[in-house]
Amino acid sequence: MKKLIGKIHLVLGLASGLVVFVVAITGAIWTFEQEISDWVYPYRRLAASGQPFLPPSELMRMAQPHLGNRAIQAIDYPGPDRAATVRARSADHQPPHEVYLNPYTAQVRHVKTSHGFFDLVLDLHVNLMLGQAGRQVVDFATLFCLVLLATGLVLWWPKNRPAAKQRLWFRWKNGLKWKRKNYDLHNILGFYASWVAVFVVITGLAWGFGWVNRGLYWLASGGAAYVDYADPKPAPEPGQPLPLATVADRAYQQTVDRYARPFANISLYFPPDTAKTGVISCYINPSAVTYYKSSSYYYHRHSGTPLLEEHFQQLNNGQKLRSLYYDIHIGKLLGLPGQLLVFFASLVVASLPITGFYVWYGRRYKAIARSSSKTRTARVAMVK
Amino acid sequence: MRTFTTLRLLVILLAWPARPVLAQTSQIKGKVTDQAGQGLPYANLVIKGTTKGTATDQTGRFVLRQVPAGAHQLVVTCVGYRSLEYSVTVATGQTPAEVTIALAEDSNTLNEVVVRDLKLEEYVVEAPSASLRINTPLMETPQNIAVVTTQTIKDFGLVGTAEMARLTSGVVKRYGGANDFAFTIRGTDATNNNFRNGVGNYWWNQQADAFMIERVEFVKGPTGFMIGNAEPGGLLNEVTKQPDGTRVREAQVGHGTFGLWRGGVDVGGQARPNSRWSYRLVTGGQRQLGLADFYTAHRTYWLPSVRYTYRPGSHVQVEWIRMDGRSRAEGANNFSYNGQDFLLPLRFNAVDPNVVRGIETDDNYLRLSHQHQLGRGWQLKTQLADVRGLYRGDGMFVSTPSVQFDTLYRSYYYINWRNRLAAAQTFVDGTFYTGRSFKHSVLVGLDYGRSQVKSQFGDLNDPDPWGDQLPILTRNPVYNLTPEQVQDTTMYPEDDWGTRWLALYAQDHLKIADRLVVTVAGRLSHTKAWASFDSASVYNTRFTPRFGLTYLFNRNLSAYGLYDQTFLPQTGRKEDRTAARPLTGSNLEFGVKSQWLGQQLSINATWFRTVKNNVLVQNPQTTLYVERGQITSQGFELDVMGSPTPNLVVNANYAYTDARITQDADSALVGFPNFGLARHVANAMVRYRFLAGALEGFSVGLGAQTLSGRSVVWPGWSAPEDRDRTAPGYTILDANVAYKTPRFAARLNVYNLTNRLYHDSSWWNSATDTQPGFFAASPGWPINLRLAVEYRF
Repeated sequence: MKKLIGKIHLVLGLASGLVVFVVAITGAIWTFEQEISDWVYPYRRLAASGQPFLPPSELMRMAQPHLGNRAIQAIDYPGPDRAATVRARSADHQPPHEVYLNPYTAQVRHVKTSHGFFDLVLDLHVNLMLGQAGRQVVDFATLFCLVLLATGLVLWWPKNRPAAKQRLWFRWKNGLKWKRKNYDLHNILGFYASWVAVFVVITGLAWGFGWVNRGLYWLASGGAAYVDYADPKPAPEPGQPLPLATVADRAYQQTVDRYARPFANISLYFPPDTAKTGVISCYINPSAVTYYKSSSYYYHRHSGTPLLEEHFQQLNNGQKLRSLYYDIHIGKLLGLPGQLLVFFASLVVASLPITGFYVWYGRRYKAIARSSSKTRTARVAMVK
Repeated sequence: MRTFTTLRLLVILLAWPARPVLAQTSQIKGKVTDQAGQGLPYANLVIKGTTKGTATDQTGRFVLRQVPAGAHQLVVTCVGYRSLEYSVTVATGQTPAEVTIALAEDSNTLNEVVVRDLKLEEYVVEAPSASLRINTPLMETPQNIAVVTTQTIKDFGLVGTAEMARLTSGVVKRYGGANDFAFTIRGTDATNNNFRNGVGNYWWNQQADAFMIERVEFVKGPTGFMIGNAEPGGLLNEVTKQPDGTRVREAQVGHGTFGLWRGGVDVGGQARPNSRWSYRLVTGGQRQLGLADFYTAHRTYWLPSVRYTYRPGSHVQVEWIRMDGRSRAEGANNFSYNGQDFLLPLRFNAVDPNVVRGIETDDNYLRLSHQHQLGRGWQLKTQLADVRGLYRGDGMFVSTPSVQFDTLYRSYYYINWRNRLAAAQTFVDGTFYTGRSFKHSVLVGLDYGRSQVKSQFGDLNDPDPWGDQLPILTRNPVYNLTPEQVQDTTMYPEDDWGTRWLALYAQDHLKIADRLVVTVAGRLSHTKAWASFDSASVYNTRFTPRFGLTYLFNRNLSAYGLYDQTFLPQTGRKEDRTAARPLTGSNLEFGVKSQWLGQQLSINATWFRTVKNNVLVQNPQTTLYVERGQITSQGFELDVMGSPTPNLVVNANYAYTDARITQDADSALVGFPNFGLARHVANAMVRYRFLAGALEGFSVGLGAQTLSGRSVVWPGWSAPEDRDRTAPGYTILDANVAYKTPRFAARLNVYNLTNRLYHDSSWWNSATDTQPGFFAASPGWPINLRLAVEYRF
């Protein structure tokens, strides 16, 4: 049985190794995207003034000259000590247009018109920079990765207590063969990393495969019927649509008023300009670290009339889990320790295809000091 | 040449007491004929009451040299004729007596009654057995063939085939225990080249017991013509005790160091006096423990055979050879490095006796043979054979030693190996003349065979891939495995591979004016090689010629040259996953054969050069094979065998062998020596017999074996600096004392007199980044002895 599992592990590993390596490395980098960006791009940070943020219209007015005639997609107030951003809608693979402003003075701090490092990292992570096809490759590699974690655990499982010792931690004596060290790296690190990686992989799969998402929902909600993400489809309203800036201000103000609690960040998403009817989504989040506690407010695109609001506390367990995907995926659910766990687990997962390949490659060159000739000849069978 | 002078000195010294007698001897010359006056070849003559004897040549002529003056009774025997005692008187200083002895055809008794002088010990044989299909006297055969008689085997105290490498030149044991072994002959692997009564190309699971064997024929050089598919280095053919009608009642018991106990019974004769039915039954067994703990090897054998002789020289025979064996912990390892021999205690065995039950090693051999006299000098011989073997059980081997050799990691395995050989051979041979002096000895035959192996290998599930499992400390080892720890095994898929061949061959051995012999022969083979791991079978048809030229200076001196080709289908899972191509090769050989002192001593010298193409070499680490372009083996061999004086028995040989890769796709490998050869090998044994006086019946002997330049790396699998790595050579001495009466014999052999510690077999593992290179070696036995007692009744 273990032989079969080993074979599966080998085949899937060889099939997905390269993709897993790329996805895991970029994932590891992405876990500290915020922290690194804040450090590398000083315009993202500023001193908190204690004043309320300027309304979206002010930011839009100041940003628009830098965006030309591009439609605005989103406005983000990431926090009291951070620059707000006004982001124009851009076609796939086109450079972004994003304006960083002081949320208190609307002073433009930076205009971003090209892909930054982390954009590339994310693009690699999600689709290997290969668009929809790449997305599918990543999805399946991730699925293989889940099977690899499971089969790897079975293969890891020691037969007895003495055998367990060298599976639980390194017992490297001086002069131990490099092959053996490599095997231990794969085995021991893989074992520990898989406990973390399994959460990362499953949440990743939930984005990639609808059935995973629904399955998790079904499990978490105790078999409840699936309710999709809120997507209000309001009827057209009579009369002239209000200007976008005015609607944005209304949506922003109503969200802050209705939320009526301190918040860490808030963001507004506008529908494509072509939409005859549409919804402005407003996400307001009490936490500066995680996203799952965000409340969602939806407003009519033309009038700013409130359509729907959703709060984490009111969701069923399936929906709650769905909200947790991202925070689980990058580990921030557990704060910095979780982030570190995911970071190191991702690094280990990235190393597994390499060490695993070497295990397989090296296995074919196992040293045999001496055995009987017939035994040696018969052993040929196992070297398929 | 030092060997030669020492030998000559020994001969002179030891023959000294016999010299006064020499001065008063003469010779008896003559001819043995049938009633019509036609010379009878191969008739035996023995002076009654002595060990002196000879046989007639092809024309029926004989010479008995150094016959003491006086009246003698000559006992003359020949198959199909009545035996005769012939009185002859020899006087010194006169012209030799010239006698003609006519034998009467034996119409009544179809089996000859062999008068067997029990004091006669046979050492020199003039013709190989029929199973070799040579059909010519050794003197005329243009090839180095050494025939070792049962007497020699007894003198050396040998108990099995694996020990017989020392009996002739050019044969080296690569490794071997009591059951499993392999030889290298002329620098070439001879694993499949061990034949029993001409049936071979089969990897025996169980080596033959010495008590089963009548004689062993070592054929050096290509044997393709004679026996078919065999590596071109050479082969050994074990001729088992045959139901030739001789009355035999013999029992043997042996005991030796390291728990050796052996016994055997040999019974043979005719069903009733003058019956057409004769039988032979040889049965016995042996137990051997080893130097290392837990080593055990048992074997039993059972050889019933029946012959029905319906006409003189024509018979049908059925023989069955059943061998059952069991061995445990064979192939124990020890390690040597940094010039330090055997780091582990010699008793150390890595095999855990709690879990390893051992390996069953069986061979079941059934042979049906028919020999039919077609007319004067022509005969038809046919044989069918079916051999099935089993090598099944479990074992452990050291997969990786730790750097300091304080811990060994072991692999547990299970093996189920079944091999089968089906063979059918038929040939006609005979002689005719064209003109007066052109004598043709012709042989035409068909040879079919199918040799198949089905093997399965299993090992522990999920072994750590570096084999760092089942550790054992080498100091104070604790054998604490439980059966549960080795229960979780997987059998890998069964492999099935083999070769099949059908060949037509013909030979004309043309003797011109009793001087020049021209041998022209050819073999047309159609072969198939298959393997379950190859996608397609490999079929081939090939003609391989053989040319030989022998010049007979006189009856006792000949020189020859031989060119021969080899063609051998091969199987093996290769690293590049392609099917193995057949091995092809050629052999060039020049030699001198001589007989001395009344044909009692033979001295042969040979130079050879064997070229093999497409040689499959196994990578010992992956167990996969790779084809090496060409391996050339050349060397020189010298054999001295026989009884130069009645008192003295000599068996000495020396071989220089140099086998190297001479062509390969990887040019860096050219010049790399082949695995498993010893460049210099010399063996000698001299025995002095007391033929009269108070010590009559006693004999004492001394022997020596020397090996050097033993190559211990597989071509291409070691670091470049290890190319010429050789295992330490050794010289070991042994001695024996025997006492013999016509009915009783007792022998004591002591081996390794100087208690030398040596590598019996050795492999070199090249250095890795963390570990220096080391030898994995089996230690040779320290001083040890064997006692054998035999009784004829």
